[in-house]
Amino acid sequence: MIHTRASEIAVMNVRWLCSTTLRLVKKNKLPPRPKFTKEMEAQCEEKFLHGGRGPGGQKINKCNSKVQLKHLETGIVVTCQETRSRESNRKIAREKMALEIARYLNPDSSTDARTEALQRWVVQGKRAKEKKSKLKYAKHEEERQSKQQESLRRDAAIIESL
Amino acid sequence: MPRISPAMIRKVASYDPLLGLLLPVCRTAEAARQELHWIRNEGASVQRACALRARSVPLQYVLGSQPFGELEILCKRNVLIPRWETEEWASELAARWQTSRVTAPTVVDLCTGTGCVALLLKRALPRAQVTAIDCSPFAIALVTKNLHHNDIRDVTVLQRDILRDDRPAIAADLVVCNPPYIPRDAFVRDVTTSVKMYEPRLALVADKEFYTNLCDVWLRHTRSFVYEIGDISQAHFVADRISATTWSVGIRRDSNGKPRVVYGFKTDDVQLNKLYDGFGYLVR
Ligand SMILES: C[S@@+](CC[C@H](N)C(=O)[O-])C[C@H]1O[C@@H](n2cnc3c(N)ncnc32)[C@H](O)[C@@H]1O
Repeated sequence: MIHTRASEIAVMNVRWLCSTTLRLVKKNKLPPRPKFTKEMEAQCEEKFLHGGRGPGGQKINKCNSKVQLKHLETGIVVTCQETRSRESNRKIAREKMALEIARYLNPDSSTDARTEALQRWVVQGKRAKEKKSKLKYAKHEEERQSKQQESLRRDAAIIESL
Repeated sequence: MPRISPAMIRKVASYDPLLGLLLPVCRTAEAARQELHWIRNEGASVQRACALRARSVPLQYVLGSQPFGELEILCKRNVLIPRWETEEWASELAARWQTSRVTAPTVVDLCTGTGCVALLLKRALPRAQVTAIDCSPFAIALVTKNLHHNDIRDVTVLQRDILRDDRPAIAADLVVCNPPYIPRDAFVRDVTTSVKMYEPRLALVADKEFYTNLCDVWLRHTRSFVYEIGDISQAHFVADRISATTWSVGIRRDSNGKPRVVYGFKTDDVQLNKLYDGFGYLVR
């Protein structure tokens, strides 16, 4: 069977995936994140942060979705304005707080297994991306060279015919 | 507001040209960085979005939407963008009606604009009978779109000029309204450039007309009302005009400490006394 170069690359690609999947961290199988409990909700004070003075209401259309959560007993403060939605930010702030409280209660235990796994997951994603772009580059390079050779051949043919 | 110097723009732009575009409209480098993050996150064409923002086009028109509670409200030119202050009182109001014993209230949302308040209440109270009214054809068209977009049904949408058209009003348990409330002089003085240039004046400029309309028309047809205000004098105007023997009237501040809502309910209604307890502070 004769392979063209491009399909060879595709095969290599598949092989690479097969040989490495076992060691990959899966996003949906990370160690569980700490839960934000009802008790924590009762121990927290929530604030919505705005620019402060200046006009409000209909006079201005700035997006304001920043949420601050303070855990009164430990003094831990987290803020979130990850999204334009205050509702979403309230949820994310609670996740962050649960993680901070877990860290506080258990400074050097496995509570950070999740963070660690997440970090590995991010790195792994970056590597995969790099590999992909390298392959893409190789393919482009190949096409470019074959085009160049083609035009050289045409030039040669023209010169010959003169 | 302090002017942003060309030197500062250059400095920020050398870091990232897109931030340079956003800085004048966002005012601070921190806000510009935050906004760029949102733009990137929402998968818009980043270049185009930043170029439009540099011309002060509101972010909500650029991205096409604004979150409102758990809803995503579509935003288009000619219709006012929902504000966080409105989201705040509407959410609190919805939560209060949810825990009350009136499970299927009749609600009228006047000056509905995008329909944000009506939709939020309908989502929270699926059995409520909600009517949304606006005089602008652009608003009416957008409310219909927003109903579809959020998969909400059974909201009556009416195009009416509430200041002129007083066909028999609907008997309601609750009338809500975020009317135009910026007096002409304050419009020139206080309103930010982006609002002035791109949002409809029809949605913004008025003095006491809609509060007069509340007292003279809608009060006769409802058990309670919640109206947004731009200034405390508008709340006092309502309190002074209302019969002190039959109505309790209160003011609610937003989380930035500004008087934001005037509300009222029939004093002899036990249910409503409980429902509105702590929503704001009573002035009458
Ligand atoms: C401040 S906007 C409020 C929009 C929306 N409820 C919100 O909170 O985002 C006021 C709305 O009142 C509408 N409006 C202005 N004059 C009106 C009138 N005479 N009758 C009915 N609607 C009117 C405008 O079209 C605009 O949509």
